[in-house]
Amino acid sequence: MPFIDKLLNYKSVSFVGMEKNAGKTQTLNYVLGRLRNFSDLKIAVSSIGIDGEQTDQVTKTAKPQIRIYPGTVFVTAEGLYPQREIVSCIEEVSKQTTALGRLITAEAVSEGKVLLAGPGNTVWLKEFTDKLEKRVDICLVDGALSRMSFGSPSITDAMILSTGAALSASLAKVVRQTKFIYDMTRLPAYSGKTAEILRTLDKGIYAIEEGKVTDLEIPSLLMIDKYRDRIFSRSNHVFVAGILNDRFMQYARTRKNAEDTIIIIKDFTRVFAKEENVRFFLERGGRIEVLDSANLIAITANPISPTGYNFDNEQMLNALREAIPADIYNIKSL
Amino acid sequence: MTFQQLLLIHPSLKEVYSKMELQTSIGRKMLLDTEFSTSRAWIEQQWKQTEQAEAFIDSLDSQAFHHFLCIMSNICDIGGSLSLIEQGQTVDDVALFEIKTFCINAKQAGKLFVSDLMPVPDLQAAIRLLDPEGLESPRFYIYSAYSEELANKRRQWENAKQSGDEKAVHDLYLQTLELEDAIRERICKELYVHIPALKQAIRNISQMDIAVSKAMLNRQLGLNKAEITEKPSLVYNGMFHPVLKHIMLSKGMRYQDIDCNIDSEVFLITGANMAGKTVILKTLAINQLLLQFGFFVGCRSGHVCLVENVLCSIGDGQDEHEGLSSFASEIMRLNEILSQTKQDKRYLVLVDELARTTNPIEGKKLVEGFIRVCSMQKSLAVVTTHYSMLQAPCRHMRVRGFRHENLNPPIDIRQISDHIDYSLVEDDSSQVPTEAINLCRLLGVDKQWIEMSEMQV
Repeated sequence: MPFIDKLLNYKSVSFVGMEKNAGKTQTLNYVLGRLRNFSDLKIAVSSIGIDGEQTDQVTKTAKPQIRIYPGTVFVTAEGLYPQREIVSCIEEVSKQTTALGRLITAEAVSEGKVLLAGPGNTVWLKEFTDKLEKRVDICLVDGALSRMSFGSPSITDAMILSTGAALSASLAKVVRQTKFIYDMTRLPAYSGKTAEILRTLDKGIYAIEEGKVTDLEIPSLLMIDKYRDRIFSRSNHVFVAGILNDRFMQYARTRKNAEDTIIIIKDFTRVFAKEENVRFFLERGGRIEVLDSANLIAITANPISPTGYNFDNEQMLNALREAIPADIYNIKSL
Repeated sequence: MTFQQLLLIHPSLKEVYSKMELQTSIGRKMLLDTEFSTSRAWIEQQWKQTEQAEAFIDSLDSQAFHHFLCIMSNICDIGGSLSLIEQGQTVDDVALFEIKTFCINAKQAGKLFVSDLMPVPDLQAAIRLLDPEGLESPRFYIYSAYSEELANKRRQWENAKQSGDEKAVHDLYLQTLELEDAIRERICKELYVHIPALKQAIRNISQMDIAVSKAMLNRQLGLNKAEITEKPSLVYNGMFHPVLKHIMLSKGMRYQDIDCNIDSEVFLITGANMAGKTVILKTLAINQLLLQFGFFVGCRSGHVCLVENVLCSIGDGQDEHEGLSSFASEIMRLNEILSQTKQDKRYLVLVDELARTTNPIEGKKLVEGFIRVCSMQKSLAVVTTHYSMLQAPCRHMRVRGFRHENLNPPIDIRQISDHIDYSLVEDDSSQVPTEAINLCRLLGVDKQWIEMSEMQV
């Protein structure tokens, strides 16, 4: 059973797809199917936003539903609850509401298919997942679309990444993009004294010098051109509390002493810059460090694209494995 | 007017409301929909409920009280579902789950807070209906225990899944759904007879929530019960503004409670700037509102009459959107107040620095005229002013003002309250205090400005 033992080391795991139809739901179904062999294990499965639709709303292709087993706790929206094909017992109804009504937490009484839903923002998801984690042994969170931010290590302990032909007809491009995300999950952890202070900051850019954190008073990264002289004025080590965008990375990679520069971010999901900007910066010797490291359990790859073209199984796996030193599996052969 | 409507008019009421820790949406809804009451019996009933809640809180340790609050916070609003059932409709599993958890939580809350004024009716029959397994756990589905036929059908469905016959699985699934629908319909019909008890439970749980949060508010803000009097008067001993006092004390600042005795004669207050005249008006307003919504009030003790409404003209009130100047806005508001007071009912009229934005000669005449009109009505009126030598029938009161001993200028404006005696005294001189320039000196403002001002004086 590939990667199941590894997965059991964590309390919460998110399933993140690099693109729609990358095989994320199939991966989740595989995991749920395998975990049923652990009869003492209490499992909860939730989602971010709405997922598990019978037909993909964008490409109109058939989409596998989530199959769960007796005893599994699942989360869905009030509007989707009647669509389940399962006998289930309602245990909680949220006070907060999503576009499809309140969230229903229920326990499966029989085996069957369900449509999952979940909190629509990261703050609520974090609260919700923390609460679920208290009553179960492992909480699986199905990510929606390619909203990577919900796979943040601040929300779940570990992640499984799904990639495949849905990303591009070019295998080389699929490999490159997947490797980039993999590399981002491997960004080194920041071990400075100020880590705990930085964790409390939500916005702004800060200089870090000798254990001291100074607000550079740059109101927005969108206004970086106006404030670019201020960024590294005090120190080559800066903390970006929000997202790392292209303008910032362009400036960081072209400055004289890029090799002495350390940019600290909360976690890898904050990287919103283009691959080439990040790569050039790293190749010039710059460093990006994270407060929360990611735990990538495995990568699953789907050779079939919703638009009709397929990759050769072996070729796809070989190309990915050659570039990425992670556990990589073909979703079809799991 | 309802509590919700008055929240928009009186910021102080909103501040008190924001300090209330209501646990249920039904309690919140009941409070917001409460009408400003002129019924002594209703207000006294509310006080009794609050006193029961205070005794209840005293009887518990903090952990047990927290447990009670947790139970209350899990109580949801089932009013909409009950209306549907009353109309003969069938509700879904989510609604039935909520009715069941409502019953279980209401029963638990009623067991902890035993109140003869807000008793939780017996909901055991409704619980039994929604709990065929008798576990009384807060979860719900159409249990197989409801019907042998459903139990058999579900077994067949499970067996078909094992056999892999997709068509049979689907057909049996649809048949289980039909049976579930029939059971749901039956449950709703049987719930119909329990609707009066459930509605009573909603009312009493809401009232319980309000009473407990009022009792908690009394502790937090130091509120006390005032006696209701039929005499047209407001007598307060140790009166204070509940929110302002709480804020000032929490910042380590001094707050002075005051006594006041307002009767049918117009009550005219003068005093130096920053002597707390406006605060007195705001305090009278918030206390009257609290009283007539069944709360305790900000005082040590008091004898207070009930009024039809509290009519205020406090603050600038300039409405640029309507193209009105400060003066026009104030005059129109006062005109509206006068037209209401002429309806032969008793109101509490509170007016701050009437006509201060016009020339002093006409301003003074407008104040005198307003006081004369007010003194012909049933209402109680309190007016503050900086105008002196007013010739109108009223009781002249003055805030004592600055204690000049130990004053070494400049003084910190944040510590100003340490140097003021806020108590009210009768003042027959008809002269207002002329302390503005002295006050500027104490605050250490530009010396040249003060010198030039004194030259003109």
